Amino acid sequence: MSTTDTSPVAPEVRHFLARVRHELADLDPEEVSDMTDGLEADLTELVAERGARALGSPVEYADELRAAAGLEVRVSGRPGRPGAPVGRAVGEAVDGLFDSVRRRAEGLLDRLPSDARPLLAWLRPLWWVARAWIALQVAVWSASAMFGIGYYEEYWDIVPHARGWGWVLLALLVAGSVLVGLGRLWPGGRRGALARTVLLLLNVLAVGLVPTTLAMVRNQSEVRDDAYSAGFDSGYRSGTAAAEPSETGIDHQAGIYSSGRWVTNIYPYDASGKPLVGVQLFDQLGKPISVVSAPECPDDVGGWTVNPVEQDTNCWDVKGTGETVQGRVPYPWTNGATQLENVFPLPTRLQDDLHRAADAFTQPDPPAIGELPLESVPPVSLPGVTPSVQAPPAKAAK
Amino acid sequence: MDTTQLLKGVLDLTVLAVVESEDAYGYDIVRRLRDGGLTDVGDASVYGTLRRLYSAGALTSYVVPSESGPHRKYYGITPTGRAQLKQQSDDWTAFSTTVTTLLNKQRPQGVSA
Repeated sequence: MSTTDTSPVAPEVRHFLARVRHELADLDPEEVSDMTDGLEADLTELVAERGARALGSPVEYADELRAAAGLEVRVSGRPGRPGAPVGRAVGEAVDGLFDSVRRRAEGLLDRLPSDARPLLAWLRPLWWVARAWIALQVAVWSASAMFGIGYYEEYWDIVPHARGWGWVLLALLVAGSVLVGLGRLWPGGRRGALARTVLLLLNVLAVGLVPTTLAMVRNQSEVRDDAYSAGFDSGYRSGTAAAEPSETGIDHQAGIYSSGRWVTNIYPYDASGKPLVGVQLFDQLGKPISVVSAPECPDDVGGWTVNPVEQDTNCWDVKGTGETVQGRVPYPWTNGATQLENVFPLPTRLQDDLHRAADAFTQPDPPAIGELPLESVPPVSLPGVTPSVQAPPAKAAK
Repeated sequence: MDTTQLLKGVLDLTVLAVVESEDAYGYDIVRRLRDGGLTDVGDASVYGTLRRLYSAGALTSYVVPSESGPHRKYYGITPTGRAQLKQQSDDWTAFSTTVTTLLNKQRPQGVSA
């Protein structure tokens, strides 16, 4: 009987055994521990006697162990398809290729300095979580794009809302990904060349989607402060040429968009066609309707355009002279306590500086309704509906 | 000739024989098989065989702790194992005699033909 003295377990032995146990992960854990119990001491002796190279491939070792123990031998390729010998041969070739790549990678890992290994051990589960997260992001995005769930997000949340299921889905995906990573779930280490190929492709895809996903999520966090929740259908917007989407501009403010341009002011007319001043507008939910009350600058066709650069404090001459010109700055109505953005028309004032001036109403040129786009419009009527301001009876009828 | 196929058939028998002579741990058994001339025997095959024989009740196992390192797992033979060894030895002897006899009969014919 030999001595029971053994040296402490060498890292290569521990690593090798971990791999072997990983290969046997589909078996009953008790079976595995019975079968590999005591191997630390034995393999340490083997390495001392014949060197670390004598350990060989953990995959082959596990297969041999399994076969000799009379346990179910895992079949490479698709099992039991008598009609497809070529397919099976291909499967075995692919499986062999995977195994040799894996063995080479393991060899490389073994040559790393031992203090780098804990880092790598950490990176694996990190990746399992990351790929689950990426899968969720892409799945939610694809689903909304595919089924045209009208308001699909231009920017991605860190955890998608997904009708309130975001966190649940993420938890499920992470659990699945970790189980796959541990070889507990499909494809279970090395069961089937097809499954392994699919897994490889999915992993490659996930790696490829890392930059996109991160970029989308980062965009989201940049615009988070914008009041874009009251926004608009991005699909509608992208179909209109006049609005150039920008991440920081007016696009994320509340506003009204009509006929391919932002509405900056509203001029109501009564049923008789006369202009009204001081009309308060509310939507179907009783929420105030406001326009994009942003300063406007003269554009190159003699009109006014919302100042495209939000931070600019001046309008620049469109002729490119480099000089500043006066812009049109809106001054909302007030109820005495707060400013109301839903009262129209919105008075404006021509200013050099595009900020609202506190003393604007005491200046010689206070904010004013200014020139109406239309002096009056044709009267309108509808049978049975009484307008608040009735058109005077037509003279011809008298 | 590829001896690995032959080895598979006699692994149970040889492992039982080694353990019967003296309780041993896995690697010790591998070494004794190799020293005995079965140089191609795979380590994992021996461990797998030990596991199977243990499950079948032919072997017992016990752990011997070590102060300086991991514990060792020793195997010993059971009465069942002894009976199996006896049976398989007889089978082997009969089988190998048959094969040897057959080969000896065929050889002179092959030369004369």
